[in-house]
Amino acid sequence: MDLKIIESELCNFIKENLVAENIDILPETDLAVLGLDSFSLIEIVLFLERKFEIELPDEVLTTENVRTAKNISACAFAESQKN
Amino acid sequence: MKFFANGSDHFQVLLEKQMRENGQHGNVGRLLLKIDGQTISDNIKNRLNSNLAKQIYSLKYHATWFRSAPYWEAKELLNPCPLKSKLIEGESIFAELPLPDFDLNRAQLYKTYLIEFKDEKYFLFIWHHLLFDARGGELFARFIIGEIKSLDRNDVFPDNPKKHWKDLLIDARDSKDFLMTDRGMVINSAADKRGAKKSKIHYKFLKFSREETIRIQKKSSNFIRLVKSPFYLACTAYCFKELLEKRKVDWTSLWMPVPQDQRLKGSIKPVMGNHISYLFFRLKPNDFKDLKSVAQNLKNQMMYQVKQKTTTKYASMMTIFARFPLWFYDFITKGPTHGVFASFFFSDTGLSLNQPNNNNSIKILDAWHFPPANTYPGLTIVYSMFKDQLKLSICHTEDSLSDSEYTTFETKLRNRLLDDET
Repeated sequence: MDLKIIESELCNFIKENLVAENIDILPETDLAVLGLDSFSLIEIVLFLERKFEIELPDEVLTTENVRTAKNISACAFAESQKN
Repeated sequence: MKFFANGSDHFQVLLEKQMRENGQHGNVGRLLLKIDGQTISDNIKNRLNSNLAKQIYSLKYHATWFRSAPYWEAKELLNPCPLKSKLIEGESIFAELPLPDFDLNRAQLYKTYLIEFKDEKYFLFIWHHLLFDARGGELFARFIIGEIKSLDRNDVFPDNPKKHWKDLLIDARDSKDFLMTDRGMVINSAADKRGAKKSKIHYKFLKFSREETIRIQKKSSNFIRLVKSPFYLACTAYCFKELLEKRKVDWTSLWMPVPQDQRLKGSIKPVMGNHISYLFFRLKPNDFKDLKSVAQNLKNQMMYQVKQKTTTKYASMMTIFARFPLWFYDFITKGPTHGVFASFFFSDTGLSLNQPNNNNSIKILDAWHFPPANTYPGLTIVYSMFKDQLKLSICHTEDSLSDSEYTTFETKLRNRLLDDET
């Protein structure tokens, strides 16, 4: 599994499902600034778990780790390497 | 001008009916903004006189059973909403705020006040919940005072619903099945329904400093990662359960529908209309082992509902019911719970008003949400953030909580949110 692919898939998911049409999502985009709420963050975690067949444990989901798509993807990548 | 209303709008008519049956007021939301800036009164009048504000002021709601969805229509452009001035001389501004009524058979579903209180200026925006949800009301109020520089027609008016009726029906069936899981359960709430009409309504506010807010968020993160709402709801439910136990109520189930803003993130549109669906949380006596277990239980319920897409499905169900008479909708929503909407109403507005623009000539110095005064179940708690400080608006009736019960509830809630030991 490639970290860049996770980042790209995640940015596409956020763009197509969670944010308004004209919003660009980059791996470094601050998700809280966009107004992504608890509900959206859970959708993101569930998307990654389904798509990449991993489990993101509660302890890795810190505020800093869910701040950007890049950070969340890094967590997902790290979990995938454990399996 | 004419466009369709959605199912969530029509649900507000049901709430209006229920509130009028049980209490003194309709389904009215209020937002009080403490403001600072130049020539405030003229700025506000100019905005109220804008074509956009007049169009919204001229809209009237029409329900059309079975044939089509309900719709909004403005046949003529009315004069602008007047800006009323009010001087409040008492000790508390909150106790003397106007709470006017609205007639849903007419247009003119919002009102504006400029209030002077102890040499300070406040803007009070009052609207019928049919016209705006809390987020929409807040955005429009900020536009009216000039804190949001501009809104155009595309930002304000909603698009017509697009989902095919077959998909709506499938969603509605799934939503009904989910709601009926515990059909027949008895829901415990704060107020006794009878006599609620005479019950006086109190609004109280709890504000936490930035340091306290950081402590609360840290405690929340120690209990559950990623989300804060389930922690806030757990603290509230725990105090509510203790209230029932102090009354020696042999309670069986708590039921809490929690509104979720369905707008796509990164956008304010559409400002007008209700764009909310609901998550539904159930708690039973065995769930209350400790605060952490309740918070985790609620988070698990939330994750399950995200997986099952219950908010989307409930919104579809509301869309279908918008074509039916209200009594039918009333029967379906309250049928599984013996006529009770909720144990108490809870919402978390998140970061919507946390960092107002404040880079214009008008600044918002403070803000208070006044949720609709639901006399049954008689207790509403709204969590919001303003300038990185957590704020709670608590609305209760005398029937739901006595003064001493309220004081205990507030103290316990504060401790549950803040203290590491609880």
